[in-house]
Amino acid sequence: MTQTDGLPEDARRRLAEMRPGESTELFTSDLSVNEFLLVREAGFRPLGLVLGSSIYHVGFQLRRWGRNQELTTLSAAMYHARELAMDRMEAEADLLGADGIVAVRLEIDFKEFGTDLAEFIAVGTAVKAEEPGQWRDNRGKPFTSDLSGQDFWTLVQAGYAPLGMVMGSCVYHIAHQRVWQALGNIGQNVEIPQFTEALYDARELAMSRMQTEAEQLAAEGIVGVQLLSLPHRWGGHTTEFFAIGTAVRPLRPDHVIDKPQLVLPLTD
Amino acid sequence: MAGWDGRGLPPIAADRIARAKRSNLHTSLLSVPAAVAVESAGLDPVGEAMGCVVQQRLPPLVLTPLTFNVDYRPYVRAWREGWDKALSRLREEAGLLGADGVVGIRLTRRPMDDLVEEVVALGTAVRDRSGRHRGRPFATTLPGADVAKLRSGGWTPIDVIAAVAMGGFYRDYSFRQQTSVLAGNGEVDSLTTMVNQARSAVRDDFAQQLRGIHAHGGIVSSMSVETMRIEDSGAGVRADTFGTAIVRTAPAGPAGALTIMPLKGRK
Repeated sequence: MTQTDGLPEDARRRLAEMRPGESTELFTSDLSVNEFLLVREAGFRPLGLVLGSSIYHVGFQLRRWGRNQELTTLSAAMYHARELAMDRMEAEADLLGADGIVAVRLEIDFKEFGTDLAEFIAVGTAVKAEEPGQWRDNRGKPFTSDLSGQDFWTLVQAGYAPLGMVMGSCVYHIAHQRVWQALGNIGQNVEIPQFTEALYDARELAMSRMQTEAEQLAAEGIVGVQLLSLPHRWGGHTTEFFAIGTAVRPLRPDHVIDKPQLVLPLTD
Repeated sequence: MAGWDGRGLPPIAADRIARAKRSNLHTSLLSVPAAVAVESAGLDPVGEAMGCVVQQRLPPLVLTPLTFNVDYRPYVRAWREGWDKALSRLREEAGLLGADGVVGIRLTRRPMDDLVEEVVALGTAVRDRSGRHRGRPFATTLPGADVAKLRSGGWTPIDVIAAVAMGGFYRDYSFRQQTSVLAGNGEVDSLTTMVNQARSAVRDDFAQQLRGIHAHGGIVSSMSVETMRIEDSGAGVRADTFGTAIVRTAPAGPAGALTIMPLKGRK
């Protein structure tokens, strides 16, 4: 299946008109002005804002009151929905002839109508290198990165190239305490072992899934990692643990950045 | 007050602008860092500029409920006219003040009751110290510091772009099936198609508006979708995208970045 199948007809026409070299060439960018200028400093040209979106219905999953467990249906939903959104965003970047997508934002917007309906959105700015080079990943797809323009510039200066966004997700249900445990803990400074273990397990699952994705891309490392715990709309004991970062590979053997000038700002 | 016919500026606004023009006092809505940044880029604040319009807005018209034919055009037209009128009044005030542009424009839309809304555009008018006048004042939602950075990078803003697109669909059996509690994980086809089409159409509108004013590019400052129920059996989505059209003023090429490390810790 070609990647561009899922795009509406007028999207394909719009992106074709925006390609560099066309007489109708034009760029749009979701980058702030800082990032817009720094991306150009790094030797890349913004081509266009690319976006993919999926309205997803998250299936119901029974939770056992007293058990720590990963809610695999919900985990699978978060993965699948994000993948659908990102695939569509990457298809738009492909049509623009981009080398990569920077400043990718992943957002989830739960809808008011319908139960458990959410829009998963992936937005970024497609860029192309001014000098021809090999920027695509080991599957021939444009690189993706959630790094800001400033971080992207610094990374390239330091001799690394982004490969792709890697993420790991785990929706976990933390067991409620038994009544006698809760009563016994009143007024005491104690550790609650099952909560601790649950949070350890959940974070480990999310981070190891992220590492597996980076290994598949044959990356040397992951930068800019965020480890988030997002309750969404599921209440206190069900949380999504989400690890996201950018996998990188070295561009050259040396990794040296110019020594920065130290300044004391007089404004906030 | 005797009725105003809606053309030009209301008498009280015209008075305020005339007073501001006579006075040596230059007010602005810029923060201190933004004011300093804007002055370093060769722009001097002249005064506030505002455009405001109160209008009636009809919801999308359902033409034939059974086959769900909806005419969105009057709704979209009213939506666009709100922004256009507010921005043109803002530009008129800036022009009367002798300004070359308006920066840091905030656009707001507030419903006053079910069918009436107030649309406001508010920003700081600035004059180009070098004396170069473009004719029509430029307008941008970008804050003062960003305008300064753009200008020193060889670009200049020309206009605010407010793009809009609508989509709608009928909540048919397959939709209800895919969204029922027992449906399990899955993408909702009809809603996804509608939202993707609306989000794509709004970016099309954005690009067409950029081409219409011969811009070289556009910086998007915000994108959103609003979903609404239409009658019992339908739903609509309105996608909005705001940004600034920019043109290159100096030849493209790296300006050279100075890397600095601030000694002040982050809060």
